[in-house]
Amino acid sequence: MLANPFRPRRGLRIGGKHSSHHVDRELNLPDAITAQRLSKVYRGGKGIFDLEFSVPEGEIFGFLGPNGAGKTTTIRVILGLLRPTRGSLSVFGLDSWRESTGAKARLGFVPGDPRLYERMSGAAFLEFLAGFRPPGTMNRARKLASQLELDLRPRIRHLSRGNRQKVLLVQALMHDPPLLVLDEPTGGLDPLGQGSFLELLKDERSRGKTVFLSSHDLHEVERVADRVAVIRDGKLVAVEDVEKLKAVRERRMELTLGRPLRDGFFDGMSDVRLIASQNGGNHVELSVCGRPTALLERLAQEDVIDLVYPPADLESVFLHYYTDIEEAHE
Amino acid sequence: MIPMLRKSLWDLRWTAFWYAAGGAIYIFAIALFYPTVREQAETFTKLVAVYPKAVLAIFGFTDLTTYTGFMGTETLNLIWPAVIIVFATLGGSAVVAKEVEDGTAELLLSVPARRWRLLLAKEAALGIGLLGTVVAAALALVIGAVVVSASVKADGLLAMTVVMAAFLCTVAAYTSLFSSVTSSRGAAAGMSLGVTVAFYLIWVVATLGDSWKWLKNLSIFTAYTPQKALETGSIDAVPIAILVAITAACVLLALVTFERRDAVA
Repeated sequence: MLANPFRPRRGLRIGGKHSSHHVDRELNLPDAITAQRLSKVYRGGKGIFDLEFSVPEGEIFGFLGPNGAGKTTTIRVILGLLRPTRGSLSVFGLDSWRESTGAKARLGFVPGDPRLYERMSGAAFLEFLAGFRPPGTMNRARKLASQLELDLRPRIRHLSRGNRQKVLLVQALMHDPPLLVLDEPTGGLDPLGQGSFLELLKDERSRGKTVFLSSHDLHEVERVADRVAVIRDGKLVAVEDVEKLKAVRERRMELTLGRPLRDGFFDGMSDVRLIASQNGGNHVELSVCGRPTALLERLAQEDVIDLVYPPADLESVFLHYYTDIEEAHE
Repeated sequence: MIPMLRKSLWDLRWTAFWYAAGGAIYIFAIALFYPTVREQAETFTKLVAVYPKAVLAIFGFTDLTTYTGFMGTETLNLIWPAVIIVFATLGGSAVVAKEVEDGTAELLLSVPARRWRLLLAKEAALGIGLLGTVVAAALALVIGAVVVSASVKADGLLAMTVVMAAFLCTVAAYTSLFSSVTSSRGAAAGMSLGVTVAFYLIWVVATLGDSWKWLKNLSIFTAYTPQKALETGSIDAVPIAILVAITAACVLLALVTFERRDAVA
Protein backbone atom coordinates (compact mmCIF):
# COMPACT_ATOMS: atom_id res chain seq x y z
CA MET A 1 0.00 0.00 0.00
CA LEU A 2 1.30 3.44 -0.88
CA ALA A 3 2.00 5.79 1.99
CA ASN A 4 -0.11 8.89 2.15
CA PRO A 5 2.28 11.75 1.30
CA PHE A 6 0.13 14.18 3.27
CA ARG A 7 -0.36 11.98 6.28
CA PRO A 8 2.28 11.61 8.97
CA ARG A 9 3.69 8.09 8.56
CA ARG A 10 4.06 7.12 12.16
CA GLY A 11 0.83 8.57 13.37
CA LEU A 12 2.38 11.74 14.75
CA ARG A 13 0.06 13.39 17.20
CA ILE A 14 0.94 16.85 18.27
CA GLY A 15 -0.90 18.28 21.20
CA GLY A 16 -4.44 17.05 21.19
CA LYS A 17 -5.66 19.55 23.73
CA HIS A 18 -8.68 20.35 21.59
CA SER A 19 -9.95 16.80 21.50
CA SER A 20 -12.43 17.66 24.22
CA HIS A 21 -14.56 19.63 21.80
CA HIS A 22 -17.71 17.73 22.72
CA VAL A 23 -17.30 18.94 26.27
CA ASP A 24 -16.76 22.44 24.96
CA ARG A 25 -20.04 22.31 23.09
CA GLU A 26 -21.82 21.03 26.13
CA LEU A 27 -20.33 23.95 28.03
CA ASN A 28 -21.92 26.24 25.46
CA LEU A 29 -18.63 27.65 24.22
CA PRO A 30 -18.75 29.64 20.98
CA ASP A 31 -18.63 27.92 17.60
CA ALA A 32 -15.36 27.84 15.72
CA ILE A 33 -16.75 30.29 13.17
CA THR A 34 -19.91 32.37 13.31
CA ALA A 35 -20.95 34.73 10.53
CA GLN A 36 -23.85 37.06 11.19
CA ARG A 37 -25.28 39.03 8.29
CA LEU A 38 -21.73 39.28 7.01
CA SER A 39 -21.24 41.57 4.03
CA LYS A 40 -18.15 42.84 2.31
CA VAL A 41 -18.94 45.03 -0.65
CA TYR A 42 -16.22 46.18 -3.03
CA ARG A 43 -16.32 49.19 -5.25
CA GLY A 44 -18.40 48.19 -8.23
CA GLY A 45 -20.90 46.32 -6.10
CA LYS A 46 -19.31 42.88 -6.01
CA GLY A 47 -18.53 41.06 -2.80
CA ILE A 48 -20.39 38.93 -0.29
CA PHE A 49 -23.82 39.76 1.07
CA ASP A 50 -25.55 38.89 4.33
CA LEU A 51 -23.80 35.58 4.90
CA GLU A 52 -25.16 33.76 7.89
CA PHE A 53 -23.64 30.48 9.02
CA SER A 54 -21.81 28.87 11.89
CA VAL A 55 -19.26 26.11 12.07
CA PRO A 56 -19.23 24.10 15.31
CA GLU A 57 -15.99 22.64 16.61
CA GLY A 58 -14.93 19.30 15.22
CA GLU A 59 -16.68 19.71 11.88
CA ILE A 60 -15.37 19.79 8.34
CA PHE A 61 -17.36 22.57 6.76
CA GLY A 62 -17.28 22.76 2.98
CA PHE A 63 -17.58 26.20 1.44
CA LEU A 64 -18.60 25.56 -2.09
CA GLY A 65 -18.92 27.91 -5.00
CA PRO A 66 -17.64 28.68 -8.50
CA ASN A 67 -14.68 30.97 -9.09
CA GLY A 68 -15.55 34.55 -8.17
CA ALA A 69 -18.46 33.53 -5.94
CA GLY A 70 -16.96 35.10 -2.82
CA LYS A 71 -15.11 32.18 -1.20
CA THR A 72 -11.74 33.91 -0.94
CA THR A 73 -13.36 37.14 0.23
CA THR A 74 -15.02 35.22 3.07
CA ILE A 75 -11.71 33.61 4.00
CA ARG A 76 -10.00 36.99 3.98
CA VAL A 77 -12.61 38.25 6.42
CA ILE A 78 -11.96 35.22 8.64
CA LEU A 79 -8.25 36.08 8.58
CA GLY A 80 -8.91 39.73 9.42
CA LEU A 81 -7.47 40.91 6.11
CA LEU A 82 -10.72 42.59 5.13
CA ARG A 83 -13.02 44.65 7.29
CA PRO A 84 -16.68 43.65 6.90
CA THR A 85 -18.86 46.35 5.38
CA ARG A 86 -21.77 45.12 7.52
CA GLY A 87 -22.32 42.33 9.99
CA SER A 88 -19.62 40.39 11.74
CA LEU A 89 -17.61 37.22 11.75
CA SER A 90 -16.14 35.67 14.86
CA VAL A 91 -13.57 32.93 15.38
CA PHE A 92 -14.08 31.11 18.68
CA GLY A 93 -16.03 34.15 19.82
CA LEU A 94 -13.34 36.65 18.83
CA ASP A 95 -14.24 39.31 16.28
CA SER A 96 -12.17 38.60 13.18
CA TRP A 97 -11.42 42.30 12.59
CA ARG A 98 -11.14 43.90 16.02
CA GLU A 99 -9.57 40.88 17.71
CA SER A 100 -7.81 39.43 14.71
CA THR A 101 -4.56 38.69 16.53
CA GLY A 102 -6.30 36.43 19.02
CA ALA A 103 -8.40 34.86 16.29
CA LYS A 104 -5.36 34.13 14.13
CA ALA A 105 -3.56 32.52 17.04
CA ARG A 106 -6.25 29.83 16.93
CA LEU A 107 -6.13 29.03 13.25
CA GLY A 108 -3.88 27.61 10.58
CA PHE A 109 -4.27 28.84 7.02
CA VAL A 110 -3.45 27.33 3.65
CA PRO A 111 -3.87 29.87 0.84
CA GLY A 112 -5.24 28.91 -2.54
CA ASP A 113 -2.45 30.61 -4.41
CA PRO A 114 0.73 29.17 -2.91
CA ARG A 115 2.98 32.18 -3.47
CA LEU A 116 5.69 32.01 -0.85
CA TYR A 117 9.02 33.66 -0.15
CA GLU A 118 10.78 32.08 -3.10
CA ARG A 119 14.34 32.84 -2.02
CA MET A 120 13.98 31.27 1.40
CA SER A 121 14.60 27.62 2.11
CA GLY A 122 11.70 25.61 3.49
CA ALA A 123 13.40 25.58 6.89
CA ALA A 124 13.99 29.34 6.94
CA PHE A 125 10.41 29.96 5.87
CA LEU A 126 8.97 27.79 8.61
CA GLU A 127 11.38 29.23 11.18
CA PHE A 128 10.22 32.72 10.26
CA LEU A 129 6.54 31.86 10.69
CA ALA A 130 7.22 29.78 13.82
CA GLY A 131 8.70 32.93 15.35
CA PHE A 132 5.15 34.25 15.69
CA ARG A 133 3.90 31.09 17.36
CA PRO A 134 4.46 29.61 20.81
CA PRO A 135 7.90 28.19 21.72
CA GLY A 136 8.47 24.68 20.43
CA THR A 137 6.54 25.29 17.22
CA MET A 138 9.62 24.84 15.04
CA ASN A 139 10.38 21.49 16.63
CA ARG A 140 6.89 20.35 15.74
CA ALA A 141 7.34 21.74 12.24
CA ARG A 142 10.52 19.69 11.76
CA LYS A 143 8.76 16.56 12.99
CA LEU A 144 5.83 17.16 10.68
CA ALA A 145 8.15 17.79 7.73
CA SER A 146 9.97 14.59 8.50
CA GLN A 147 6.71 12.66 8.69
CA LEU A 148 5.60 14.14 5.39
CA GLU A 149 9.00 13.27 3.86
CA LEU A 150 9.55 16.93 3.06
CA ASP A 151 13.13 18.10 2.57
CA LEU A 152 13.36 21.58 4.11
CA ARG A 153 16.80 22.40 2.73
CA PRO A 154 16.04 23.49 -0.87
CA ARG A 155 14.89 26.98 -1.61
CA ILE A 156 11.16 27.24 -2.08
CA ARG A 157 11.53 28.31 -5.71
CA HIS A 158 13.05 24.89 -6.43
CA LEU A 159 10.17 22.93 -4.89
CA SER A 160 7.50 21.14 -6.89
CA ARG A 161 3.84 22.12 -6.49
CA GLY A 162 3.23 19.12 -4.28
CA ASN A 163 6.14 19.96 -1.98
CA ARG A 164 5.07 23.60 -1.78
CA GLN A 165 1.70 22.34 -0.70
CA LYS A 166 3.41 20.28 1.99
CA VAL A 167 5.31 23.35 3.21
CA LEU A 168 2.03 25.22 3.44
CA LEU A 169 0.43 22.35 5.25
CA VAL A 170 3.27 22.15 7.77
CA GLN A 171 3.05 25.89 8.50
CA ALA A 172 -0.70 25.56 8.98
CA LEU A 173 -0.42 22.58 11.34
CA MET A 174 2.83 23.28 13.18
CA HIS A 175 1.22 25.21 16.04
CA ASP A 176 -1.55 22.62 16.37
CA PRO A 177 -4.40 25.09 15.81
CA PRO A 178 -7.98 24.10 16.63
CA LEU A 179 -9.19 25.57 13.31
CA LEU A 180 -7.86 25.02 9.79
CA VAL A 181 -8.88 27.46 7.07
CA LEU A 182 -8.14 26.07 3.63
CA ASP A 183 -8.65 28.02 0.43
CA GLU A 184 -8.89 25.57 -2.45
CA PRO A 185 -5.98 23.58 -1.03
CA THR A 186 -5.95 20.78 -3.59
CA GLY A 187 -5.68 23.00 -6.65
CA GLY A 188 -2.79 21.76 -8.76
CA LEU A 189 -2.47 18.44 -6.95
CA ASP A 190 -2.81 15.21 -8.87
CA PRO A 191 -5.75 12.92 -7.96
CA LEU A 192 -3.55 10.79 -5.68
CA GLY A 193 -2.32 13.88 -3.87
CA GLN A 194 -5.88 15.18 -3.55
CA GLY A 195 -7.04 11.91 -2.05
CA SER A 196 -4.18 11.88 0.44
CA PHE A 197 -4.86 15.43 1.42
CA LEU A 198 -8.52 14.75 2.06
CA GLU A 199 -7.60 11.74 4.21
CA LEU A 200 -5.41 14.02 6.27
CA LEU A 201 -8.34 16.34 6.84
CA LYS A 202 -10.39 13.43 8.13
CA ASP A 203 -7.54 12.62 10.52
CA GLU A 204 -7.58 16.19 11.79
CA ARG A 205 -11.30 16.03 12.32
CA SER A 206 -10.92 12.82 14.29
CA ARG A 207 -8.56 14.77 16.56
CA GLY A 208 -11.31 17.30 17.20
CA LYS A 209 -10.09 19.95 14.79
CA THR A 210 -12.44 22.13 12.83
CA VAL A 211 -11.82 22.55 9.11
CA PHE A 212 -13.19 25.31 6.90
CA LEU A 213 -12.64 23.97 3.39
CA SER A 214 -13.24 26.28 0.46
CA SER A 215 -13.55 24.57 -2.90
CA HIS A 216 -15.25 24.70 -6.26
CA ASP A 217 -15.12 20.92 -6.53
CA LEU A 218 -18.39 19.40 -5.32
CA HIS A 219 -17.04 15.87 -5.45
CA GLU A 220 -14.05 16.78 -3.27
CA VAL A 221 -16.23 18.46 -0.65
CA GLU A 222 -18.71 15.60 -0.62
CA ARG A 223 -15.91 13.18 0.19
CA VAL A 224 -14.88 14.85 3.45
CA ALA A 225 -17.31 17.50 4.63
CA ASP A 226 -20.00 17.09 7.25
CA ARG A 227 -21.92 20.15 6.11
CA VAL A 228 -21.69 22.38 3.09
CA ALA A 229 -22.47 26.01 2.44
CA VAL A 230 -23.11 26.82 -1.19
CA ILE A 231 -22.31 30.35 -2.31
CA ARG A 232 -22.98 32.02 -5.61
CA ASP A 233 -22.57 35.66 -6.64
CA GLY A 234 -21.69 36.49 -3.04
CA LYS A 235 -24.89 35.09 -1.57
CA LEU A 236 -25.45 31.88 0.34
CA VAL A 237 -27.64 29.57 -1.65
CA ALA A 238 -27.85 26.87 1.01
CA VAL A 239 -26.24 25.40 4.10
CA GLU A 240 -26.92 21.67 4.16
CA ASP A 241 -25.71 18.40 5.54
CA VAL A 242 -23.67 16.65 2.91
CA GLU A 243 -25.99 13.65 2.91
CA LYS A 244 -28.95 15.88 2.16
CA LEU A 245 -27.02 17.61 -0.58
CA LYS A 246 -26.20 14.25 -2.12
CA ALA A 247 -29.87 13.35 -2.04
CA VAL A 248 -31.07 16.44 -3.88
CA ARG A 249 -28.41 17.15 -6.46
CA GLU A 250 -28.69 15.61 -9.88
CA ARG A 251 -26.08 13.55 -11.68
CA ARG A 252 -25.88 12.76 -15.33
CA MET A 253 -25.59 9.20 -16.61
CA GLU A 254 -24.73 8.31 -20.19
CA LEU A 255 -25.66 4.89 -21.50
CA THR A 256 -24.65 3.16 -24.71
CA LEU A 257 -27.07 0.31 -25.37
CA GLY A 258 -27.21 -2.68 -27.69
CA ARG A 259 -30.94 -2.05 -28.09
CA PRO A 260 -33.22 0.79 -26.91
CA LEU A 261 -34.64 0.70 -23.38
CA ARG A 262 -37.88 -1.18 -23.01
CA ASP A 263 -41.17 0.70 -22.93
CA GLY A 264 -42.13 1.61 -19.37
CA PHE A 265 -38.49 1.49 -18.23
CA PHE A 266 -38.89 4.72 -16.27
CA ASP A 267 -42.19 3.80 -14.64
CA GLY A 268 -42.09 4.28 -10.87
CA MET A 269 -38.70 5.98 -10.90
CA SER A 270 -39.50 9.61 -10.15
CA ASP A 271 -35.86 10.45 -9.49
CA VAL A 272 -34.73 9.46 -13.00
CA ARG A 273 -35.42 11.58 -16.08
CA LEU A 274 -34.58 11.01 -19.71
CA ILE A 275 -32.72 14.05 -20.98
CA ALA A 276 -31.66 12.99 -24.46
CA SER A 277 -31.91 10.01 -26.76
CA GLN A 278 -29.79 9.51 -29.87
CA ASN A 279 -28.94 6.82 -32.46
CA GLY A 280 -32.44 5.44 -32.40
CA GLY A 281 -32.43 5.15 -28.63
CA ASN A 282 -29.07 3.32 -28.45
CA HIS A 283 -27.38 6.27 -26.73
CA VAL A 284 -29.31 7.93 -23.90
CA GLU A 285 -28.55 10.56 -21.33
CA LEU A 286 -30.29 10.42 -17.96
CA SER A 287 -30.59 12.71 -14.97
CA VAL A 288 -30.38 10.85 -11.66
CA CYS A 289 -31.34 12.32 -8.32
CA GLY A 290 -30.44 10.52 -5.08
CA ARG A 291 -29.33 6.90 -4.95
CA PRO A 292 -29.15 5.03 -8.25
CA THR A 293 -29.92 1.61 -6.75
CA ALA A 294 -33.30 1.07 -8.44
CA LEU A 295 -32.01 2.34 -11.74
CA LEU A 296 -29.01 0.01 -11.69
CA GLU A 297 -31.25 -2.95 -10.90
CA ARG A 298 -33.38 -2.23 -13.98
CA LEU A 299 -30.35 -1.58 -16.14
CA ALA A 300 -29.08 -5.02 -15.23
CA GLN A 301 -31.99 -6.34 -17.33
CA GLU A 302 -30.97 -4.23 -20.34
CA ASP A 303 -28.29 -4.66 -22.98
CA VAL A 304 -25.87 -2.09 -21.60
CA ILE A 305 -22.64 -1.74 -23.61
CA ASP A 306 -21.17 1.20 -21.74
CA LEU A 307 -22.10 3.37 -18.79
CA VAL A 308 -20.60 6.73 -17.82
CA TYR A 309 -21.55 8.17 -14.42
CA PRO A 310 -19.29 11.17 -13.68
CA PRO A 311 -19.28 12.93 -10.30
CA ALA A 312 -21.91 15.58 -9.80
CA ASP A 313 -20.83 19.09 -10.66
CA LEU A 314 -21.62 22.31 -8.92
CA GLU A 315 -24.13 23.40 -11.54
CA SER A 316 -26.37 20.47 -10.65
CA VAL A 317 -26.58 21.80 -7.09
CA PHE A 318 -27.33 25.31 -8.25
CA LEU A 319 -29.93 23.97 -10.62
CA HIS A 320 -31.71 22.29 -7.73
CA TYR A 321 -31.68 25.30 -5.44
CA TYR A 322 -32.54 27.84 -8.11
CA THR A 323 -35.43 25.71 -9.24
CA ASP A 324 -36.61 25.63 -5.64
CA ILE A 325 -36.31 29.39 -5.34
CA GLU A 326 -38.22 29.98 -8.58
CA GLU A 327 -40.95 27.57 -7.52
CA ALA A 328 -41.23 29.33 -4.18
CA HIS A 329 -41.64 32.66 -5.97
CA GLU A 330 -44.35 31.24 -8.16
CA MET B 1 8.28 41.84 15.80
CA ILE B 2 11.74 40.30 16.11
CA PRO B 3 11.15 37.59 13.46
CA MET B 4 9.93 40.25 11.03
CA LEU B 5 12.89 42.52 11.78
CA ARG B 6 15.31 39.64 11.33
CA LYS B 7 13.76 38.59 8.03
CA SER B 8 13.60 42.16 6.71
CA LEU B 9 17.27 42.71 7.54
CA TRP B 10 18.10 39.43 5.85
CA ASP B 11 16.13 40.44 2.75
CA LEU B 12 17.83 43.84 2.63
CA ARG B 13 21.36 42.65 3.31
CA TRP B 14 22.72 42.53 -0.23
CA THR B 15 20.89 45.60 -1.48
CA ALA B 16 22.11 47.61 1.50
CA PHE B 17 25.61 46.18 1.13
CA TRP B 18 25.95 47.11 -2.52
CA TYR B 19 24.56 50.61 -2.07
CA ALA B 20 26.82 51.13 0.93
CA ALA B 21 29.86 49.68 -0.85
CA GLY B 22 29.12 51.57 -4.06
CA GLY B 23 28.73 54.85 -2.21
CA ALA B 24 31.85 54.27 -0.15
CA ILE B 25 33.99 53.28 -3.13
CA TYR B 26 32.79 56.36 -4.99
CA ILE B 27 33.66 58.62 -2.05
CA PHE B 28 37.06 57.01 -1.66
CA ALA B 29 37.81 57.24 -5.39
CA ILE B 30 36.90 60.94 -5.46
CA ALA B 31 39.05 61.56 -2.40
CA LEU B 32 42.07 60.36 -4.37
CA PHE B 33 41.64 63.38 -6.71
CA TYR B 34 41.86 65.82 -3.83
CA PRO B 35 45.69 66.28 -3.89
CA THR B 36 45.52 67.40 -7.53
CA VAL B 37 42.79 69.91 -6.73
CA ARG B 38 44.64 71.11 -3.64
CA GLU B 39 47.74 71.82 -5.72
CA GLN B 40 45.69 73.94 -8.13
CA ALA B 41 43.35 75.47 -5.62
CA GLU B 42 43.64 79.00 -7.02
CA THR B 43 42.67 77.93 -10.53
CA PHE B 44 39.66 75.98 -9.31
CA THR B 45 38.51 78.82 -7.11
CA LYS B 46 38.56 81.20 -10.09
CA LEU B 47 36.77 78.63 -12.24
CA VAL B 48 34.00 78.11 -9.73
CA ALA B 49 33.60 81.86 -9.26
CA VAL B 50 32.51 82.40 -12.87
CA TYR B 51 29.66 79.89 -12.74
CA PRO B 52 26.12 81.25 -12.25
CA LYS B 53 24.85 80.97 -8.70
CA ALA B 54 21.98 78.67 -9.76
CA VAL B 55 24.33 76.19 -11.39
CA LEU B 56 26.50 76.12 -8.30
CA ALA B 57 23.44 75.55 -6.17
CA ILE B 58 22.03 72.79 -8.36
CA PHE B 59 25.29 70.86 -8.34
CA GLY B 60 26.19 71.64 -4.75
CA PHE B 61 29.44 73.51 -5.52
CA THR B 62 31.11 75.15 -2.53
CA ASP B 63 34.74 75.40 -1.55
CA LEU B 64 37.08 73.07 -3.45
CA THR B 65 40.28 74.00 -1.65
CA THR B 66 39.64 72.14 1.62
CA TYR B 67 39.13 68.38 1.95
CA THR B 68 35.71 68.75 3.47
CA GLY B 69 34.70 71.37 0.89
CA PHE B 70 35.97 69.27 -1.97
CA MET B 71 34.28 66.10 -0.72
CA GLY B 72 31.09 67.98 -0.02
CA THR B 73 31.02 69.43 -3.52
CA GLU B 74 31.96 66.25 -5.32
CA THR B 75 30.11 63.64 -3.27
CA LEU B 76 28.17 64.48 -0.13
CA ASN B 77 26.03 67.37 -1.34
CA LEU B 78 24.55 65.79 -4.47
CA ILE B 79 25.90 62.60 -6.04
CA TRP B 80 26.04 60.36 -2.95
CA PRO B 81 22.59 61.35 -1.64
CA ALA B 82 21.14 61.05 -5.14
CA VAL B 83 22.28 57.42 -5.25
CA ILE B 84 21.22 56.54 -1.72
CA ILE B 85 17.86 58.26 -2.19
CA VAL B 86 17.20 55.62 -4.84
CA PHE B 87 17.82 52.95 -2.18
CA ALA B 88 15.59 54.75 0.33
CA THR B 89 12.86 55.12 -2.27
CA LEU B 90 12.96 51.54 -3.53
CA GLY B 91 13.20 50.19 0.01
CA GLY B 92 10.41 52.42 1.29
CA SER B 93 8.12 51.64 -1.61
CA ALA B 94 8.53 47.91 -0.97
CA VAL B 95 7.59 47.78 2.72
CA VAL B 96 3.91 47.10 2.11
CA ALA B 97 3.51 47.00 -1.65
CA LYS B 98 6.00 44.20 -2.32
CA GLU B 99 4.13 41.77 -0.08
CA VAL B 100 0.85 42.67 -1.77
CA GLU B 101 2.26 42.53 -5.30
CA ASP B 102 4.14 39.28 -4.67
CA GLY B 103 1.03 37.67 -3.21
CA THR B 104 2.72 36.91 0.12
CA ALA B 105 0.69 39.42 2.15
CA GLU B 106 -2.13 36.95 2.74
CA LEU B 107 0.14 34.37 4.34
CA LEU B 108 2.24 36.92 6.24
CA LEU B 109 -0.83 38.58 7.71
CA SER B 110 -2.27 35.24 8.80
CA VAL B 111 0.25 35.18 11.65
CA PRO B 112 -1.00 36.36 15.04
CA ALA B 113 0.73 39.73 15.08
CA ARG B 114 -0.64 43.22 14.78
CA ARG B 115 -0.08 44.63 11.32
CA TRP B 116 1.49 47.82 12.62
CA ARG B 117 4.14 45.81 14.43
CA LEU B 118 5.04 43.94 11.25
CA LEU B 119 5.29 47.19 9.32
CA LEU B 120 7.29 48.90 12.04
CA ALA B 121 9.79 46.04 11.96
CA LYS B 122 10.14 46.46 8.21
CA GLU B 123 10.63 50.20 8.56
CA ALA B 124 13.20 49.68 11.30
CA ALA B 125 15.14 47.28 9.07
CA LEU B 126 15.16 49.85 6.29
CA GLY B 127 16.38 52.50 8.73
CA ILE B 128 19.21 50.22 9.82
CA GLY B 129 20.10 49.58 6.18
CA LEU B 130 20.21 53.32 5.48
CA LEU B 131 22.31 53.92 8.57
CA GLY B 132 24.71 51.31 7.23
CA THR B 133 25.16 53.25 3.99
CA VAL B 134 25.85 56.43 5.98
CA VAL B 135 28.40 54.73 8.23
CA ALA B 136 30.12 53.26 5.16
CA ALA B 137 30.28 56.74 3.64
CA ALA B 138 31.79 58.16 6.83
CA LEU B 139 34.38 55.38 6.90
CA ALA B 140 35.27 56.04 3.26
CA LEU B 141 35.74 59.74 4.07
CA VAL B 142 38.11 58.88 6.91
CA ILE B 143 40.12 56.37 4.88
CA GLY B 144 40.27 58.84 1.97
CA ALA B 145 41.51 61.56 4.30
CA VAL B 146 44.26 59.32 5.63
CA VAL B 147 45.38 58.34 2.14
CA VAL B 148 45.54 61.95 0.83
CA SER B 149 47.02 63.34 4.05
CA ALA B 150 43.98 65.39 4.95
CA SER B 151 42.02 65.29 8.17
CA VAL B 152 38.44 65.10 9.35
CA LYS B 153 37.23 65.67 12.90
CA ALA B 154 35.45 62.94 14.83
CA ASP B 155 32.68 65.27 15.97
CA GLY B 156 32.30 66.42 12.37
CA LEU B 157 31.85 62.84 11.22
CA LEU B 158 29.29 62.19 13.92
CA ALA B 159 27.34 65.34 13.07
CA MET B 160 27.45 64.49 9.36
CA THR B 161 26.19 60.98 10.09
CA VAL B 162 23.23 62.39 12.02
CA VAL B 163 22.35 64.82 9.22
CA MET B 164 22.59 62.24 6.45
CA ALA B 165 20.73 59.53 8.37
CA ALA B 166 17.93 61.90 9.37
CA PHE B 167 17.53 63.07 5.79
CA LEU B 168 17.47 59.60 4.27
CA CYS B 169 15.08 58.28 6.91
CA THR B 170 12.70 61.12 6.05
CA VAL B 171 12.71 60.14 2.38
CA ALA B 172 12.19 56.48 3.30
CA ALA B 173 9.40 57.39 5.71
CA TYR B 174 7.26 59.34 3.26
CA THR B 175 7.89 56.68 0.62
CA SER B 176 6.68 53.96 3.00
CA LEU B 177 3.59 56.04 3.69
CA PHE B 178 2.85 56.10 -0.03
CA SER B 179 3.48 52.35 -0.13
CA SER B 180 1.05 51.80 2.74
CA VAL B 181 -1.63 53.91 1.07
CA THR B 182 -1.29 52.66 -2.51
CA SER B 183 -0.03 49.05 -2.17
CA SER B 184 1.83 49.64 -5.43
CA ARG B 185 5.60 49.81 -5.60
CA GLY B 186 5.55 51.74 -8.84
CA ALA B 187 3.04 54.30 -7.61
CA ALA B 188 4.79 54.73 -4.26
CA ALA B 189 8.24 55.13 -5.82
CA GLY B 190 6.90 57.52 -8.45
CA MET B 191 5.10 59.68 -5.90
CA SER B 192 8.15 59.68 -3.66
CA LEU B 193 10.56 60.65 -6.41
CA GLY B 194 8.19 63.41 -7.48
CA VAL B 195 8.07 64.80 -3.94
CA THR B 196 11.85 64.53 -3.53
CA VAL B 197 12.57 66.30 -6.81
CA ALA B 198 10.04 69.00 -5.89
CA PHE B 199 11.78 69.49 -2.53
CA TYR B 200 15.11 69.77 -4.33
CA LEU B 201 13.90 72.30 -6.90
CA ILE B 202 12.29 74.39 -4.16
CA TRP B 203 15.58 74.40 -2.32
CA VAL B 204 17.54 75.42 -5.44
CA VAL B 205 15.14 78.28 -6.16
CA ALA B 206 15.40 79.37 -2.53
CA THR B 207 19.17 79.81 -2.90
CA LEU B 208 18.84 82.13 -5.91
CA GLY B 209 18.04 85.33 -4.06
CA ASP B 210 16.71 86.87 -0.91
CA SER B 211 13.22 87.23 -2.34
CA TRP B 212 12.98 83.41 -2.66
CA LYS B 213 14.73 82.64 0.57
CA TRP B 214 11.47 81.88 2.39
CA LEU B 215 11.05 78.80 0.18
CA LYS B 216 13.79 77.12 2.19
CA ASN B 217 11.25 76.47 4.89
CA LEU B 218 9.34 74.24 2.50
CA SER B 219 12.15 71.88 1.55
CA ILE B 220 13.75 69.01 3.46
CA PHE B 221 16.99 69.78 1.59
CA THR B 222 17.39 72.84 3.82
CA ALA B 223 18.19 70.43 6.64
CA TYR B 224 20.57 68.42 4.50
CA THR B 225 23.91 70.08 5.33
CA PRO B 226 26.45 67.25 5.63
CA GLN B 227 29.38 69.40 4.56
CA LYS B 228 28.65 72.06 7.13
CA ALA B 229 28.19 69.40 9.82
CA LEU B 230 31.48 67.79 8.82
CA GLU B 231 33.32 71.11 8.97
CA THR B 232 31.83 72.48 12.19
CA GLY B 233 31.11 69.32 14.14
CA SER B 234 27.65 70.61 15.00
CA ILE B 235 24.13 70.27 13.64
CA ASP B 236 21.35 72.77 13.27
CA ALA B 237 18.92 71.42 15.82
CA VAL B 238 15.70 72.88 14.42
CA PRO B 239 15.97 71.57 10.85
CA ILE B 240 17.03 68.14 12.10
CA ALA B 241 14.17 68.14 14.61
CA ILE B 242 11.81 68.94 11.74
CA LEU B 243 13.17 66.00 9.75
CA VAL B 244 12.72 63.72 12.75
CA ALA B 245 9.17 65.03 13.21
CA ILE B 246 8.30 64.47 9.55
CA THR B 247 9.77 60.96 9.75
CA ALA B 248 7.82 60.13 12.89
CA ALA B 249 4.59 61.54 11.46
CA CYS B 250 4.94 59.64 8.19
CA VAL B 251 5.80 56.37 9.96
CA LEU B 252 2.87 56.81 12.32
CA LEU B 253 0.49 57.54 9.47
CA ALA B 254 1.78 54.55 7.53
CA LEU B 255 1.25 52.29 10.55
CA VAL B 256 -2.25 53.58 11.23
CA THR B 257 -3.20 53.36 7.56
CA PHE B 258 -1.91 49.80 7.27
CA GLU B 259 -3.60 48.77 10.50
CA ARG B 260 -7.01 50.10 9.57
CA ARG B 261 -7.30 49.45 5.85
CA ASP B 262 -8.16 46.28 3.97
CA ALA B 263 -4.86 44.48 3.66
CA VAL B 264 -5.54 43.05 0.23
CA ALA B 265 -7.90 43.98 -2.57
